[in-house]
This record gives sequence, structure tokens and C-alpha cells, in this order.
Amino acid sequence: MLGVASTARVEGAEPVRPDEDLVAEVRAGETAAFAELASRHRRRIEHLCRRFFTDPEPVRDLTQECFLRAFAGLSSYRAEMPFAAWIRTIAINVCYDELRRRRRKPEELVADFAGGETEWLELVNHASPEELAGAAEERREAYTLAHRLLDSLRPEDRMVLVLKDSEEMGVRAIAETLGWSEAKVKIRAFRARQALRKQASRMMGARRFRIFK
Amino acid sequence: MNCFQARKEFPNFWREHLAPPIADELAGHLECCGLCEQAYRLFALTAPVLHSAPEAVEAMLGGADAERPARRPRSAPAGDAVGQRGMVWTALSMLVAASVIAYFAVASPGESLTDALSNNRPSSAISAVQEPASSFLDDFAG
Repeated sequence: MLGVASTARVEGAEPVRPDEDLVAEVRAGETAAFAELASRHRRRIEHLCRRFFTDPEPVRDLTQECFLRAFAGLSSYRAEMPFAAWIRTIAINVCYDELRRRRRKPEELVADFAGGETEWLELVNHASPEELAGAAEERREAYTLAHRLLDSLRPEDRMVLVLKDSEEMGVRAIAETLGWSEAKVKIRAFRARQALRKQASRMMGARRFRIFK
Repeated sequence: MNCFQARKEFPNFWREHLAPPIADELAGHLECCGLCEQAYRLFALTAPVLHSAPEAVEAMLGGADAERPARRPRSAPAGDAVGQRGMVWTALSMLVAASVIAYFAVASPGESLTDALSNNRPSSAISAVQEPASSFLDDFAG
């Protein structure tokens, strides 16, 4: 999934040049080749940042920060790792730094909800599982509420959840990326789910929803 | 389908990527198993961020932007209320300011003797202040 750009060829068009060639060009002084690399990976990195932050502006800033760091550290890039994986690691670290810099907001969870958020909570609580699948589409409230719930977690808990569930990374890969032991990743994943359940229970508790009866 | 298999399929079920027979089987399992049903509903709370495809996230963000205003805490007043309240306060402040200006323009405070002397007022005016029209001796004299 990560190395798509490295080998992809479009029929009838010029073959797509591998990322590694572009990296070599940038290293040789052709900095314009970096624009091609950035345009290939920008959307995926932006989407990764969106797993952590709601507002579009910080997401854009962090994406830019990732590419700046990548450009600055291109000399340390080793070709045995696909460029996509390398820049993803940078993005993960940039997001982790930002998560740690920001304050957790567990207290906001039990604060008031906007009308749309209450509707979404009602739907999550009462709709059938089939109805629920796809029901979040075009509902900004579903997205913001999910972010509020995740904002209440500790940065490391959130990081593990996102990498495990969204990026579908294995325990070893997460451990290598974050520089943790595998045991720590497992413990954090377990505690993250526990904390998530507890926070969701707090959030829904006052409403006596049946999820956490 | 057991609980482990069911939970493994949550993301695909959420994205509606499951083949109909498996989706039906999973739905059947969720109907019978209360714990998995609860787990699925908890999953649905975070799935918009953790399990949605980029296009779905863009639909959530873009689709809603045009129709709905951004989230606002219930404690904060709505847009119209802010406008109305602002207008009332502006009108009130203007009224107070106008009253203060009118008061000082029309009714000047009485001058003391010292003020009158320091302003080089005519002696008649000073004497008017200095010498009252009648003193208490006049009462005895009368």
C-alpha cells in the first residue's frame, strides 16, 4: 500500500518514476524534484494528520512541517525503506510532538453537545447496526464528536489507537516507529481501549444510553 | 460467526465493504450478542475518525460545511442573538453618553469664590458672591 508510487505504471502514459529516483535527484541538487514527491504523498500525509486533529489549518501546517523535515533530513534517508514509509514515520513523529504539546481535554467530554451531536449520539444508541454503517457520511458532528472522544485520551494512547486501527500497523512496526518496546505498545493499546470505553461511558452516562448499561 | 470473527469485521461492515452473506451473518450475530452489539456501538463513535476512508472524511467535512454552521457551545449565544444583544448595548451606551454630554452642556456647576477669583471674573460678579444680599444682622436691625 505504501510503495504504490514506487512501481506504479499507467498504460499509455509515461512510466511513473520511482520515489527513490526523485530522492536521488533532489540529493543531486535538483530541488524541483521534491515538489513531485510532495505532490505524490501530500494527500496521504494530510489524511494521517486528520486522524489526530480536526481543524484544517493545523492539519495543513503539520503536513507542511512533515515535508520541511523530510527535505531537511533527506540526507539521512536510506533506500531500504520505501520513501512513503519514511515520510509517514516523520508525519507520525510530527503529530505525536503536536499531541504532546497540546493539552488533553477530558473535561470537555461531559460538557454540552451541539444539537447535531446529540442527534448523532441518539442514532448511535438506537439505530440498527446496518443503519449505522454509512450513517456517518456527510455528518460533520459524527466526525467532531469522534475527535472530542479521542482528544480526551493521553497522547500515547491515541497514537497507538490510530496507528493500530487506522494505519493498520502491527505491534512491532509501531514499536519501531515510536521507539518503544513491544510490551509497551500492547499495554498502551489495552489501556487506550479501556480509557476510551470509560470516556464514552462518561459522555453517555448522563443520557442513560444503552451502550453502557 | 464467533465474537472474535465478528469484531474483526467491524471496520469492513462500517465501510459497507462486506459481501452480503457475511454482512448478514455479522448483523445476525450482533442481534444475538449484547456484548458485541455494545462493542460495535462504541466502535461507531470513533469510526468516523479512525476507520473512515479519506473520501468519506472529505464528505463529512465538505458536505456539512455548506449546509450547517460550525459547532458552537450551547452556552454561547447564537449568531442572531449576538447581533441583537450587541445593538441593544450600543444603543444603551449611546444614550448614556448623550445624557452625560447634555448634562454638562446645559447645567454648569455653581462656581466657588476661589474659582471666580482665579478666572478674573468682574468685580461685580465677585462681590455678588462675596456679599450676600442680606446678613443675619439685617434681621435684628429690621
